[in-house]
Amino acid sequence: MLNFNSFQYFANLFAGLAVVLPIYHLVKNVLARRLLLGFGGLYLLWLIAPRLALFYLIFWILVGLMQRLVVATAERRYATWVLAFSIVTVLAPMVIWKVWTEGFVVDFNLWGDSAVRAITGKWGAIDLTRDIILPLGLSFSTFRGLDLLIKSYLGALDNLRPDEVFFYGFFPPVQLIGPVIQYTEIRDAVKTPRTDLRTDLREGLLLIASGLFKVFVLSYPLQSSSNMFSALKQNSVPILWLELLMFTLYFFFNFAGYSDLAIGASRLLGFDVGRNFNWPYAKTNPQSFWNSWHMSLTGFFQRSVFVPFGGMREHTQYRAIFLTIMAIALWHDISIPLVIFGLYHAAGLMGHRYVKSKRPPRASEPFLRRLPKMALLVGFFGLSLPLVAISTSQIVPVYSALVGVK
Amino acid sequence: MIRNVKDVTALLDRRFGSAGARPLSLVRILVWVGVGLYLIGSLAPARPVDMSKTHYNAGRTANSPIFDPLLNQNDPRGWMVHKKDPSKFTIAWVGTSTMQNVRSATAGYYSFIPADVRARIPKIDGKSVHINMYLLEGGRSMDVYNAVSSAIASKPDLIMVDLNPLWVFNDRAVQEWDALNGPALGHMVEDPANWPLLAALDSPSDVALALGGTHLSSLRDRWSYAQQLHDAMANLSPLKLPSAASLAKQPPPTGLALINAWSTSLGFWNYYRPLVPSNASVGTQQEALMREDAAPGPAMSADITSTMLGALAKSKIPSVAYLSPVDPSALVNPANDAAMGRIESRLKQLADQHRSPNLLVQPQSAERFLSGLTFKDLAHMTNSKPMVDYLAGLVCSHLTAVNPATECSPKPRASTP
Repeated sequence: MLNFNSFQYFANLFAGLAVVLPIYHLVKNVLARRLLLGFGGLYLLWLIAPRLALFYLIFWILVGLMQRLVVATAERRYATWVLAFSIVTVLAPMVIWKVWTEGFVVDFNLWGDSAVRAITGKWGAIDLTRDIILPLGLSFSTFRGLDLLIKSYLGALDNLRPDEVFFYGFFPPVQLIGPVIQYTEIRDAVKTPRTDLRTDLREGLLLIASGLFKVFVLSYPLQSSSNMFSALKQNSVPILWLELLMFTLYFFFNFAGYSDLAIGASRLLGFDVGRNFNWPYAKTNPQSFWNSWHMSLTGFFQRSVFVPFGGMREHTQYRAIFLTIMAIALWHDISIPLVIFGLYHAAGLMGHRYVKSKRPPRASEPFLRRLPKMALLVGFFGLSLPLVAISTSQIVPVYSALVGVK
Repeated sequence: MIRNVKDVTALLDRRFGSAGARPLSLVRILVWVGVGLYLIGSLAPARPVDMSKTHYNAGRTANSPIFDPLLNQNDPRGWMVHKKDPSKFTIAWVGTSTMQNVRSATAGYYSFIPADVRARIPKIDGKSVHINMYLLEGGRSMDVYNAVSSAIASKPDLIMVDLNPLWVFNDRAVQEWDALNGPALGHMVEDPANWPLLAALDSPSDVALALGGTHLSSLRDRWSYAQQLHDAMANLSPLKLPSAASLAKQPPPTGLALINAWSTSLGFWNYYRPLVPSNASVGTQQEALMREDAAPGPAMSADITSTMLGALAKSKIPSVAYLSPVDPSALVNPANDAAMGRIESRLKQLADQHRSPNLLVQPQSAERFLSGLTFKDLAHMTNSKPMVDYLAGLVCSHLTAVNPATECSPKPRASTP
């Protein structure tokens, strides 16, 4: 019931684009274009559940108000406090969800449906037919909202009009699973095309084909590997390691595939949304791995945590690395497995930074020399992946089973 | 080396003459995708549907005149209606679990009211009677309407619709078989009266896949392909999964795991918004549902039922919609009796709005005028013989009213207990 099929969202997105795309490219009025895409995104959320659409409508109204507040007070001496207040406000739903998951999910659905029903009983009836859901896409919306506030505080953005916030908040391709786009990535392309339509259509279709290939051909056959965590006693150690390798590949292809679908859909509309993965499993060290894994999110944390906490200065770089990777880890869930995940990768990144400072790497290496390093890095990352999928009580059984202790 | 989409387009420019760079080229790619999907459907057809494994058909004999055309609840093909045989008198009988006659307290052994009626009317107009029985277990008003739209499209000689008094106007759940949206779309879109419902409950992908599926079997049969792929992957996977017996030993789920275990959202709403305490008997819960069903005010399910009656009236096919009976002992409670009265009254109002010579709506619940019905709970009968007698008579009287030349007379009830 709670496992929403992400492809359903994209199936509706692509079917909807068959109608929206020609209209969007024919209409030259910027306001109309923003509203078309904003309402498109809102409708896609409504299809998942009207309560989800209503939740995000309220969320983005809040973000829009906070953005105005931050801009209005940017020159005041208490500007930092206003920013902190607005960040806490926007961050609150996600943190409550991560900390108090069951209560949040139950109340989110109950209150959401009641609110929809209060607007109109028929929408309430439609809402009751939809699945019970987690607050889908909340992390991505939260980070997009925070990015807007921080950029406004730094003076990179002026007051945004409601239609601009609406367009950014409900930009259809990225509602569900990212990437975490920045407002500046889509601000100008809605006014003037980035490049010619043919190039956009061609590249967009190629990206979508790449996404479909990753999701259905590469990842779907590996999907059953996620069952390994509930089948520890039934399987031998080599089989568990094989399944862990398959899970590592599945995790990447599934995530990267859906990212390609979102980026490809954006490209069809003429928006050049940055790529989200850059061959992470072909990297040879933790730093380049994290620079190429879920790049929109790591980019957000680099801008918002790594740099402000002194990542570019020698004497504070380790602290900045630690805080950044912990933030990335706890984004998944605020739980003990994810704290261990963060500590594990913080150790990897800081260790690599230390070794690099003592023995600078070669400028380039032949492929055969890189290959064992790549395999080692995939193994290093794969070993931490169960922590993203299991509960605290499963940590010891899972890792014990991998070394043959059952 | 290919690093990004620009490298791919450069490769296409070098090797494939700028494929996809011109409008004609994009059209060509689209055509080839269509050809590819067509070839998949032709060269590697999906596993045929085994209709003998569906809920009713599993216990059906090969030559039985009753056939359940519904596929798996998640199968987006919805149903497989046999081509109408002009040598037979075909009845499409649509309903939910209330058209089952529960013969014992043990689960899994049933008889079906349409089958019992068929035994009483083996021939109409000299033709053998065949029944397509759309048995929607857990079906709600929109599911019933989707099935009715399919029944209308199959042009049977008579349509019977069993309306469950617990759900006919109840907005707690207006749909549980949403896979029927796609296959019903083609029939429903022709009538503008259906458009508000389609806009509310169908999604763009329902529309796209329904359109694509009419011409491409690879899209239409996607559920079978997914099943085949799933089976193949399960066979290939070296992972041994825990047996069902060991899973059964695990403690029952709680919290989010419990929510996740519910197959429909109704489980959640019943658990967190109970009408009566959760430890109440099934009968008490059903009585509460009936009272909720009778709540005044606008209801989406009432709109659905109204639109369905309108579609039946417009179809010109002889049709009967009747309210399924409830346990009369529950109506001793004045609140339940009043609730049933409001349901009957509302159905009568809708019937008056859609008056047509071909459509007969029986808004009065049958326990009001039939005696001898016995029930397992509020809505499921253990002895439906009086109801079968009544329905057999209703079928013949309505057919004769629509066309006085119709030869239809129910056989007397067999004397078996």
